[in-house]
Amino acid sequence: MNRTSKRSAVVAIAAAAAVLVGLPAVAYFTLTSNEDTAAVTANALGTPATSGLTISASSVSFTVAAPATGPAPTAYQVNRTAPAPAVPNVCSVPAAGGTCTDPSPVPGQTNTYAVFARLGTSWASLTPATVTAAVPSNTVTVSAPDLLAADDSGASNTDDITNDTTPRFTGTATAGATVNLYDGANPTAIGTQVLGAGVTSYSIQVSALTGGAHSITAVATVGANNSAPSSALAVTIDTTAPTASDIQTGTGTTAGKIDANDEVRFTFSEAVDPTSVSTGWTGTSVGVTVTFRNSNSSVASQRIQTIVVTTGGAAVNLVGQVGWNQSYMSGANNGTSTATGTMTLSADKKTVTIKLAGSPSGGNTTAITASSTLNWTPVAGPKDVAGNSLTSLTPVTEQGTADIDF
Amino acid sequence: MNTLLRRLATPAVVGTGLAVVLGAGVASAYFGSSVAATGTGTATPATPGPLEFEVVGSVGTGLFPGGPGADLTLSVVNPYDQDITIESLVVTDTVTAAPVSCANPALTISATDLPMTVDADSVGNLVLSGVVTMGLSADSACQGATFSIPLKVTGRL
Repeated sequence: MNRTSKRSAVVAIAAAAAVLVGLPAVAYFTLTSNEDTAAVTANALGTPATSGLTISASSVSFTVAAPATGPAPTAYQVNRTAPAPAVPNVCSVPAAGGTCTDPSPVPGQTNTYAVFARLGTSWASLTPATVTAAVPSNTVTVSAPDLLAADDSGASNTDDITNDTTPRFTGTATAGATVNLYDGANPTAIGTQVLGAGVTSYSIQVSALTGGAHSITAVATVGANNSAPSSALAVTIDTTAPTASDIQTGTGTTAGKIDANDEVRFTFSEAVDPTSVSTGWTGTSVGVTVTFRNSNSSVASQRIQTIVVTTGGAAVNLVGQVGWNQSYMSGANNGTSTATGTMTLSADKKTVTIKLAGSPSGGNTTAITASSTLNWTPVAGPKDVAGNSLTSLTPVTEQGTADIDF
Repeated sequence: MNTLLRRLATPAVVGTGLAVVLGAGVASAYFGSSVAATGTGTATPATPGPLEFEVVGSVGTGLFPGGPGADLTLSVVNPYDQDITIESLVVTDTVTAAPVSCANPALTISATDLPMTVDADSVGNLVLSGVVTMGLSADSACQGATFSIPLKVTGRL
């Protein structure tokens, strides 16, 4: 009996055995093969085709097409590999292929590009296409914009903080160029000017800027050539009026008593112009006279005190009223107590600190031990650094936990 | 030798839960619904020994991320005088890649074309279309790589 016949007999006997045990005669047998190894080979992305190279001082363009071999790519990646530093993704090319334009080649040098076909999240051509472009020198230039002093509101006309939402910017550019101003990465120009023949200065009023920080750059264009973008000018637009935000005290000699080295700190919502607080003040320490005036110390709700601060006899635009719920002064209403001290402005220009040099004279200052919360009603006069005036005279309450003041 | 390979028109009919899979060397019986009484049982061949058959894998091509998948081709030797219905393909060990720098091939192997039939006393080319697919996350180093897939198949006689 040959091999095949033997196997057939095995099957027949097995089927017969199934019949003998009383089961139906339709039988199947499970078979398992030997183990072997199959293999599958992956494709590889080919090298993209490139053509149609055009070069100017401000632009390099070429066409990218699918590789002749391998699977169809789903994207392309073009990197500028020279001169250093390398710049990845200088352009965007659709999956079907198309034009790559590098809008910012390096003028006066040979620019080299590596063009990869991409597939999936990781596959890139093992051998990219290489495009070499000798880019001519750029003869179009433009200077960084400068905020016109007349439009730089506030005490400083050079701090580039202004409440003018449509300010003018000035600079220089190649004669006859078209100058466009841009805000940050927004590709839409916010202002433009076409310079006449022989004219090299620009003054451009921009469209309305929102409040906050802006980064203004300029680009000049002559014919098909663009200048490199200018360095950026950081400008802050501030149209928000400052407000009083907090009042705090610092304990000097004796807690709970107005005496030497006590501090009263008045804080605004934003940086203030010191000369708007006190004419001619620069924010450095200046001598002041501080007068505390008592009201009805017997009634808590009427314990309204006025702190009058003067410097050189001139009023300081700081305090309308200060109220507290403790009797720091006793005696008749409208009693006064006067001390000398200093006035300083914090580094962030938000907080004005009055510090007493000695204990006040006149009146009757008394020590208290109970905690309370002050309130401060400002006076008109202070301005922020953009020139916006404090307009709200609404009292503000001391922040934080009630404590023993002075 | 006749190498005809037939695909069953209604694969869902075969391979139901009535099949009893046993270890090598033991035959199992499946009793179809064509008879009045149904049930299961085992039958031991008179001549002890496994019911086996031979497969030989070959090399497929055309794999790439997100692609339709590569075919897996096996040569199946049916020494019996009855047809073998190939029901399943089992990957028996780790799939290896060459070169080894292809650390993440993102491969998926799914034999969706089964069952297939190999005629009696014939050698059939079992072509499983598009069963090996490569995910989009496959490493770029997997370009041109060859993946070895250790496998065996099971069938019914």
